[in-house]
Amino acid sequence: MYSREIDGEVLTLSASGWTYNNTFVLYDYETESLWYHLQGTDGLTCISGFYADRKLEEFSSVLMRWNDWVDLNPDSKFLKYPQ
Amino acid sequence: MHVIIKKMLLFGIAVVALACQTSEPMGGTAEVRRDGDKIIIVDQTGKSWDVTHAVNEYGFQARAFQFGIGPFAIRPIQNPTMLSPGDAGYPSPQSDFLTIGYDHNGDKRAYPLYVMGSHEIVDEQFGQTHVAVAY
Repeated sequence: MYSREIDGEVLTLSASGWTYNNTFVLYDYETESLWYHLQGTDGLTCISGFYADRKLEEFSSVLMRWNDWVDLNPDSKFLKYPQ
Repeated sequence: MHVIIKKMLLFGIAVVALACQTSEPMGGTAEVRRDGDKIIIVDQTGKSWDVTHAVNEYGFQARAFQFGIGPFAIRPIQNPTMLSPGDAGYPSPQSDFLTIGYDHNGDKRAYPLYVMGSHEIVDEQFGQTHVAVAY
């Protein structure tokens, strides 16, 4: 989970179609900057493009089984499968 | 029995032969072009990506970028729709599929991996806060 706000702008993040070290390289539609989760760092770093060297903050999320998650969070919303 | 062993041997030889042919890692290596000081990689759709900064400042190797299937092969989910408990399509509490769970100041949302696997990113919004769910 990452912030997609920078300098008051909202970015649309997407897969670029590239991977590096088996990790997705992301890019933003607005500037086509490349964003990557560098090993040993938090958040996404802009490795190339308009926002070079800038970072997008990371927020903690969990990866767990639905039954465990909904047991802990019975009011949780759930992503509808996109049409 | 004898025939099966023979077939297995042949299959093994074929695998080894294929492995010898393709010295490149799975996913291929990026096609690299140089334009003056610029280092450009070209993906399978013909789109060019300037990776000069990644190479010079972060030690990336241009040829080690892989796949390059193009930016529209895996589309993010924009403006996601959320189901609430009781809505049609809300999963049974007994289901045990894997999901990403996120709690934004008490607003809890789940993003199942069976959806994230084919979209990679959900461009999400909590009030005025914009986040990207990534898998």
